[in-house]
Amino acid sequence: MHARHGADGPAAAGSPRRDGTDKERDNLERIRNASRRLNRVFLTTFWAAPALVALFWICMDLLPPAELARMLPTGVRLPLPVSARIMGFVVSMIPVGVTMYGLRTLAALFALYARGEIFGAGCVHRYRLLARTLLWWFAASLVSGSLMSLALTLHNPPGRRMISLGVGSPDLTALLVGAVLWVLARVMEEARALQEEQDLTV
Amino acid sequence: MPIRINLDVMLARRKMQSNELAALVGITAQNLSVLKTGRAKAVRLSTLEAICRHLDCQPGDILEYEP
Repeated sequence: MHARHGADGPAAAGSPRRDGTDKERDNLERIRNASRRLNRVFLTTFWAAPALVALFWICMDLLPPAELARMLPTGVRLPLPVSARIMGFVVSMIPVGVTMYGLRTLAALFALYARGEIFGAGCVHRYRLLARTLLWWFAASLVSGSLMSLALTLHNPPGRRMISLGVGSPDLTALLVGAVLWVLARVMEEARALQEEQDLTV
Repeated sequence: MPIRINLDVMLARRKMQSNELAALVGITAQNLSVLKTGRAKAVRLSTLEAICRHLDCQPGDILEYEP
């Protein structure tokens, strides 16, 4: 179902709103063009995210030690053995996997926008998925933070192994944005119903 | 819905094609089909006026209430 009533609709032809209709058409074209570009960006990021994470764990020795210590949990002894790096990669992939799912959903949403479907049922469904993804990301971030400290200190001598639990502002932001998106998904459902009525108005 | 659309009857009486009427009224053939098949949720007065003008009929000739 297409989102907007086209210029060939009954209200548009020969009506004084013609200028407004032209503007609407231009706006829709801009949305489509921007959405095509964003779709490509999200698809590229989808594939790049796990590759960059793997690259980090493979090439971490090339980073300055001070910078590396800042990026890893406290109590981690460098250099890390291969087993710890593999565990680190696997644990990193928990929130990255959720992020990838979110990127895939965003790419699908913008593919719909690029096709001109703004208020369709597919868009509403993807808004719901995005809200759910952000809430899952919050949970995944908490779990991976704790598991990461354990995985990277497991090779330490007894008494030096640790597990940490923390909530950062990015986690809380994701939780808040997830809640906002959940409400927005409901608003989009209302918009979809209105659009359907508009589409069936002759 | 208890409102019956008799547009196809009027089109047959006036020996007019749907596409022709759609073009005259200024709506798409798809929208006219929505109206003809009774799937429309609402009809704009401007559309009804244009249909009546081009088919030379009254709204009651097109819309019929069936209790």
